Amino acid sequence: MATKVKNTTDLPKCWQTVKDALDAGIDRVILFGTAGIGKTYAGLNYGKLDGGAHRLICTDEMTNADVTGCWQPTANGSWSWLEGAGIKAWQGNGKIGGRLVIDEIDKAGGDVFATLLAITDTPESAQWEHPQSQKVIKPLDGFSVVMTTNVEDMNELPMALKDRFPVAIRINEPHPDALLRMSEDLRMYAKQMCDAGERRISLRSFYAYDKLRTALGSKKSAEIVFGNRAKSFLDAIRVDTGKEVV
Amino acid sequence: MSTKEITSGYEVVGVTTPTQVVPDVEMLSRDDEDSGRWSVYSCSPVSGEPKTAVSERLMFVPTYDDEISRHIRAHEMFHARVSPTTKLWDKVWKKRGYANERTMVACEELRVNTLMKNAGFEPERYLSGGGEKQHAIQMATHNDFQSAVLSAISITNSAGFTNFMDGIAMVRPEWTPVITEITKQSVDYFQEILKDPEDRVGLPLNATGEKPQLNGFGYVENLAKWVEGVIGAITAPKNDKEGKDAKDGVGKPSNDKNGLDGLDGKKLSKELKKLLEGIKTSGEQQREEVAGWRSGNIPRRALSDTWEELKVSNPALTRSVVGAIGKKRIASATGRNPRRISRLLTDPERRIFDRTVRGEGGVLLIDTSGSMRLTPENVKEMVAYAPSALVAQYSGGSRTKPNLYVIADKGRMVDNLPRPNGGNGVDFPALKWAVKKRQRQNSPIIWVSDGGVTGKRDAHNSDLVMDCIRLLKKEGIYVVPNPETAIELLKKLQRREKITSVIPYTLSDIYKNLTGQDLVLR
Repeated sequence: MATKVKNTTDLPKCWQTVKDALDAGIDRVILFGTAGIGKTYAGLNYGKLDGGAHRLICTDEMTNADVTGCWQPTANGSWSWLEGAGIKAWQGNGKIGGRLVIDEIDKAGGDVFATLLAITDTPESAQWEHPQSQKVIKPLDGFSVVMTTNVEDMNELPMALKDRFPVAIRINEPHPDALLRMSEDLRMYAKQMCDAGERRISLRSFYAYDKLRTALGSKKSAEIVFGNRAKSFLDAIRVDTGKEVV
Repeated sequence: MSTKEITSGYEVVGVTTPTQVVPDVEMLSRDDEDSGRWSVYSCSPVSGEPKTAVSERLMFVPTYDDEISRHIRAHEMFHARVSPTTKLWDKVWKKRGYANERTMVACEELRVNTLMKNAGFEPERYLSGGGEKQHAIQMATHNDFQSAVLSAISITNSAGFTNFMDGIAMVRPEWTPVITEITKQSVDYFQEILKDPEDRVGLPLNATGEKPQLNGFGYVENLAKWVEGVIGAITAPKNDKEGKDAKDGVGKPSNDKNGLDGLDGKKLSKELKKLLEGIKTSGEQQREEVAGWRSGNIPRRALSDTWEELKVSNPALTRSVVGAIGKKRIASATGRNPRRISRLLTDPERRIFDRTVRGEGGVLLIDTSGSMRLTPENVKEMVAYAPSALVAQYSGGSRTKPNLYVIADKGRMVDNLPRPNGGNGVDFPALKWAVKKRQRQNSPIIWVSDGGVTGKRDAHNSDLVMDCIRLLKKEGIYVVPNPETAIELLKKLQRREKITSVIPYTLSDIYKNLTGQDLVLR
């Protein structure tokens, strides 16, 4: 996907769409695209978040405890129920439902995946019985879900999941706020290299390089962060700016 | 290389996969093109294999982890960063007409090498195609001076340059100082643009704006124009039989004799000194001009957009030209009727018969713009001395009225001369029209003009003048600055004497400024 080089502080089209969708109250959104460009950041910060935001990072080893909760021993020898991120997000601040940000749902195992489908179901169908209080809990109004995944092709996701998330937005540029955290001279490179296919460089590498170079200089920092690729990285900056990299 | 047998066949010992270095071309940004993913392919580090297509985002570069490959990668990366896209090249730069495609390509190579050097790379140490010397020997052997200059420019600031010049020196040592001076001036030209931005306000050399006046390639075009002027001046014909346009010559091997050909010893050294001085002066002037450039000074318009459209009018030619001598009879030794019987006694060759001789025809093109200050009598007088010629007067500046009138042809002329519009505007189109209208290939074309040519909106610039000069040289057109010299020339023509141009000061001055050489016309 090509992007015209403009000011790095302008909100790119993909992010504007995310913002518009969440501000308009769309409560089920999938953000997909390359890693490390701020999809989770957007999930945790964009739209109405009065009910708070809860993050869930999926792995194949995770259990339902992370989603709905688990029993935990207390100091007096009894057990209490520790709510998982899914239930916490349902209940929000007690009045308004919160935001559940599910990272890399495609990596969740079958058991967890089924639970997540139940949690992210429509408010009319979704309900869960609390094991301790036996109360039936339903998501409060305002509950929303932002799911992020690194898959580039939405067809790779299960149909049941796609059904629950009618809005899917491909993110191909880093969020301007994420770029603002690094020095100005690196922002454009970070922006362009985020979507460079197999030669992609993550924002995190740029952050590390930016921080290191203040102490160690560009050459040494590039060697530490980019390894064999350091020369090629610095040469590209030289060519682009027409100046030696100090 | 040793091998050892293994169960599945043979395994080569001591061979490992080399480290592959792929350029981070996605990091480069341009104003005229989207950024995005590139396809980078590996190729050998030999001349002709590495290449870059900007619009298609394709790059072929060696991926070895050594300095030579690294410099080739940097060279191609600079092309990806600054060189025109195929679309802009085809639709804009090629069509603008200021310089030939091949010259611009050579100058673009120099820009890239200069930018490389400026960015801290060492192209003069690591960038070499390998066959430069042989290439130079070949060009010098075939006396292809233009190609030699362009090749030298394209590899200036690279490691191959010294070898190239060695090759030239082996076959044509007299070319060496000239080529060296041209390349030196070209390098200095780009260095002037690269000066500390605080010292000059202008478009950066690596700018990639979508509009020509905002694109650094405009500097390349400007240099190419200068190079063509210099080459054209050096290879200028010494007489009219060798006349050939320098611009047209660029791009094809030429057997034109250059200005140093046939000279030896003291004369060669004197000519060489003059030539080098000329190149130096014009190069300095070029740099001075570019030092003052702001972004708007790269011409926005193509050369073809700079002239007014020619509107030709053919009024009725009702009057006979006084003294018309469209055809005449001269004495001949053979014939049917002996009309000149007295010649039996008086003429040793006893030419007692008659032979009809037609006038040579020709085209007399008169610039009737305000700067010429011509009266109708001046024009009529010139027509009277060109009875068998096609005579036209031109003057632009009006949107509605014609700007070129045919006022006489085949011994007849208009009753009343049309009133000129006052401006120029169509000098070049009018000259082209005259070339088309000449009766025979050897019919003379005489242009009466003070050389103060202008384009649309009566704007004057040296490009317009050079445009006309190139055509004058190519077509062997005679030029005279005023009616007096025109009549003198027409009289000579009638007497069948040898004629030469009387070059207006404006033309010779601008030509000298741009090329450093004296303008030689037919």
